[in-house]
Amino acid sequence: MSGISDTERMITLKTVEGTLFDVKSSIAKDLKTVQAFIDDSDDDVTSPIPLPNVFTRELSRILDYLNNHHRFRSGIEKADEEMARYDAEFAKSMSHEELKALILAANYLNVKDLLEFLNQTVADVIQNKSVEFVRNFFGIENDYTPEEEEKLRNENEWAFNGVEQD
Amino acid sequence: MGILFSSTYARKAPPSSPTLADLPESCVASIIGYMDPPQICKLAMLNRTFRAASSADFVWESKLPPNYHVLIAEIFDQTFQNNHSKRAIYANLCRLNSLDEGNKKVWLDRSTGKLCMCISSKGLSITGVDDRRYWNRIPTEESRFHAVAYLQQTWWFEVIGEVDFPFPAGTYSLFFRIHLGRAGKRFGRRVCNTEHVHGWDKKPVRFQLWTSDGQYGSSQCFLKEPAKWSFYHAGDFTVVNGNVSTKIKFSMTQIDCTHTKGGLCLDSVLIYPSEFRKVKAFLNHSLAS
Repeated sequence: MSGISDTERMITLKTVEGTLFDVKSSIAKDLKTVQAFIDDSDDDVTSPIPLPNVFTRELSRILDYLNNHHRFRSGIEKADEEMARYDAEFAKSMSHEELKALILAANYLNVKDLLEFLNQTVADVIQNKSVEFVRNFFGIENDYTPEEEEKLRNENEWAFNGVEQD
Repeated sequence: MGILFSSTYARKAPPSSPTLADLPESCVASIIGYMDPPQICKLAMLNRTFRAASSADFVWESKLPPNYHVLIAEIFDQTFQNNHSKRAIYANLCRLNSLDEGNKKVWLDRSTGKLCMCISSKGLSITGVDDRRYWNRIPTEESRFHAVAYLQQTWWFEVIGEVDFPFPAGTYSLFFRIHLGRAGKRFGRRVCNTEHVHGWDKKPVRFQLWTSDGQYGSSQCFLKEPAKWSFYHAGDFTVVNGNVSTKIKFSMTQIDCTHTKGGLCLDSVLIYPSEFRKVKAFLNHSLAS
């Protein structure tokens, strides 16, 4: 490791489309995959690090999220409120397709906090939706026979028809 | 969750639509963990993969009350096998489980996993209940216990109850479920006889709640709104340690002997997590404090 202070150093990342992003090393630390690559390299990483699974749109969003969160955390007052507001807007700004794409990118780059936030967001999206909607969302096929479905419905009866309330 | 970083550069087409096949298992598990139990059961219907993921023990362990081992020991007898999945344990705890020869019922609210309890009028100590001049037990389908205690008239109204149970840690609210007037059915329609209802507007009733660790609450309230079931809030208590039994004692009294009172149906006492007062519609209008 060189003697240059870590917070000054910039890392360059290259997306699938070839776009280059300059990222402060303090931010790069949150991209654990990238950080692992840096740690494993014997010399200082000077050339752009290619990210073969990450597209410009996703990396841009991830860096936006991280930059904002770092900014909130270093602020003094009302960080929680502002962060919550930012997170809500961030979640709303994406279509379902973009949300899923972002999860894949965040998972690949191993951005823990963002990933948890995105998982929670997906959970909120599918919370009260029908089985059909959720199947569509995840792009999965129903592999049950009608008999099996019936049996499953009975098995799960307790969760829907529980104790009557007044 | 270390992902091996590959430096081989392979151009990929933009994902047209990411599917479950692309979402890593840990993400799916995390998403499921954020859902409430009824929704998780719905997810089991998606396909076999989801069914397996949604049945995972660690998912249901997080929904169970932390003291579920103690609850199992208290509620179920020895025939309850030890090798049930956490999901099965949750499902069983969500049923209306009977205690005290059916005089108490205990269950987990299926969405939140919080514990609720209901004590029948038979499980309460009602002064003078055996004197048919004052009290009668009448069968009704409007009670979980299929019968309520009906007070025709008395000078001394006193109802006392006790509970000794390992409530999970949290704050609970106690309610009396009461009906002024006697309801019945005539030609299939509900009718209510309020001719015996009297005295409740003269002086308020008094509620008290004690716990063995020194908590105490007391309040007063006039009983009103005849012909419908009302929940009267008697008090709150807080449990810190769910691994030991919590002992509480509570009472509802109106012992001012200058006037009689009557025409009251006492169904049961209910104990709910205090946060239910804000979310459950039937408790929104609970009267008293």
